[in-house]
Amino acid sequence: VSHSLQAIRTALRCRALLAASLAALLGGCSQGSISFLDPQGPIAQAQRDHFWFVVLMTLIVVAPVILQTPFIVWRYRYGGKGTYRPHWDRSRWLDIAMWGIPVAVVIVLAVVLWRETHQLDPYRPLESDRQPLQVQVVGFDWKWLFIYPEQGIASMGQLVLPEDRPVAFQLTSATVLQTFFIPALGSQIDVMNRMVTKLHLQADNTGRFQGKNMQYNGSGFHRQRFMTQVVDDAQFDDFVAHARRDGYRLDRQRFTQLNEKSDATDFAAMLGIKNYQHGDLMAFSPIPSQLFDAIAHHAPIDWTSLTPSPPQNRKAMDERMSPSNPIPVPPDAEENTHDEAEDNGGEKAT
Amino acid sequence: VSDIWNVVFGRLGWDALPFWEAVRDPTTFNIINGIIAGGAAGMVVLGALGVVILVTWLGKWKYLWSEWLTSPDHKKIGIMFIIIAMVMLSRAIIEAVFMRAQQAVGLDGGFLSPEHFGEFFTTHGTIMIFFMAMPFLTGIINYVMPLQIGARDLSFPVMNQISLGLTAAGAAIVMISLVLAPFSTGGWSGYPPYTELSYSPDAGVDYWIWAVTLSTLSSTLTGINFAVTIYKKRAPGMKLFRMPLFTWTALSTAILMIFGMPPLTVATALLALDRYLDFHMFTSDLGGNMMNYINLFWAFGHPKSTF
Repeated sequence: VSHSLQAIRTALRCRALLAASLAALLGGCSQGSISFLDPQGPIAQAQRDHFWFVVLMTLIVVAPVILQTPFIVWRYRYGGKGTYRPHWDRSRWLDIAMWGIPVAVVIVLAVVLWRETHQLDPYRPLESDRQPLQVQVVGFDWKWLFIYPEQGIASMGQLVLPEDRPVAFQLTSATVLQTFFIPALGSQIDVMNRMVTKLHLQADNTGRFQGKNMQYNGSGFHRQRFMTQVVDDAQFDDFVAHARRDGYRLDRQRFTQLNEKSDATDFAAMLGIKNYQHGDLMAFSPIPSQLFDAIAHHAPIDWTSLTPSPPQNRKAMDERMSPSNPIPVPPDAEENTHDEAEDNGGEKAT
Repeated sequence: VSDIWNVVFGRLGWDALPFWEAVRDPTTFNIINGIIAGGAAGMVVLGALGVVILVTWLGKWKYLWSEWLTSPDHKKIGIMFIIIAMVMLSRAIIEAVFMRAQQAVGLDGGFLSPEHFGEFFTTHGTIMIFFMAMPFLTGIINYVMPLQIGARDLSFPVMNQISLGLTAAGAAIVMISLVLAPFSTGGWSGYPPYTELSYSPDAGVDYWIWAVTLSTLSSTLTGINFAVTIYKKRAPGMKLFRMPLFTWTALSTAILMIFGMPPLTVATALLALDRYLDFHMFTSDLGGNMMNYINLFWAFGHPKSTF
């Protein structure tokens, strides 16, 4: 199976290239790769292989039917060459073939599906010698916020990922049910209010890959897209440094604006960015600590953590913020922000 | 005056007219959408008027009432189911044409507003499943199956009339939503919390809930009717394994209807409780869980796909 898959893969790569060049001709490269048939990571690749395997297995049953139906209709037509045998009703070998082959196909498909469902479980961490990058995704109406908890930054419009490094996503929604999907990297997953889902992906190549919401959530649904920008490690460090240096402060006012119904372009206008194009990067820093958990569990957001820390503490703070060592919320901070959180809850309900 | 208006019309206002936005804010875009929606509403009103005038002209009211609308004859009920399916299909096809046309030119906006497109795909999906595929299937089985097994009628002819009435009422609700807009934009699956009051406060989801609830009740009753007829009403000598293949598929469909339809009736009824009585079955706060809706919906949806 793996041999034939390899051959199919090679054949398809040429087709994917052709498709990609066609897409480039029609839509321009800036739109980014949008299909799992042109996979850019191990998960999408496995899903593409699975897809073609299922298609081929199904064809074993379907193709003879499609090909033989016109043949049989022609051969046994009135006045045709086929023998007329009105009392014929049984052929042991035909019966065995007609029942046996589909049963065998179903068994093979079932076994493969069972195994690959577990192998490709979105909650299962990817094997790699590198630590996965933690990214927390929050779906708003009609935009995505990407929080990098280890780096203490966030982004919108663009999801920046390092190449060849697994990414561990945690996802939630600040509003209705949405679905997070980067087709070129594979695996679509639901994001829900007050619930956290997980997803593990990896990008093998640098490039720009379209990401989108796949579950209708109102009139701005079609604008809820983002660009996945996969870069090398040095560029990723540049991105983090840039976000920390020039990022917008994600304060209470801006968070309130985030909860309003608007797309990324509208939000860029609120930030005062001119000429914002779809897929441009908006970076945020500082951001409230534990922002994702607060949104996911409707807990009070710790706005006091936005107070800028002296530069020499920055590194220490980064270490403290790693997920293995989360910052405990000081009890008084929670009390201070209690009424603010109630304000927030009120806004969400409207 | 406004008090009386409220008592009589509730939330219903001029903005329910499908072309109201074009009157209020006559931009080219709004006028195009107003003409499309207004044209559709006009077709419903004119179509209904045309039928009334035609029946009156032919003097066939008594005939229509006593020979068709109150008839328990399975063949006539089957034909009426199929007529409903064909009327609804013609609307769904027009909607599909508009959606594809929008997609063909829609890269930078197109001619349909996002809300209008959302209503298009919700009504198209809802109609094709609940008011085209199912009435058509029910109609054909209604007509053919009793003839094939040698039964005089279905086991419960009056229940068959009730099924027809429920489906007709559901279809009427979907058609009325063209005249007094809007319809839901939540898709044919109507997932909460988007379809909850906090995110979809207008009447659209209510139209959808009532239409789907009536349709699923109708199909549950129909399923029971078909299954009982096939089990109990076969002519002497018509053993199960002598039944024609079509009756076998009718039996399989009926069994799926009996256990596939009630979950959706329950799901939409619970959603209605959320919207009308402030329950929190599927809300994202106060203990609601949207996944319960999705589980119920697909307890219906997977058997339904097998019809």
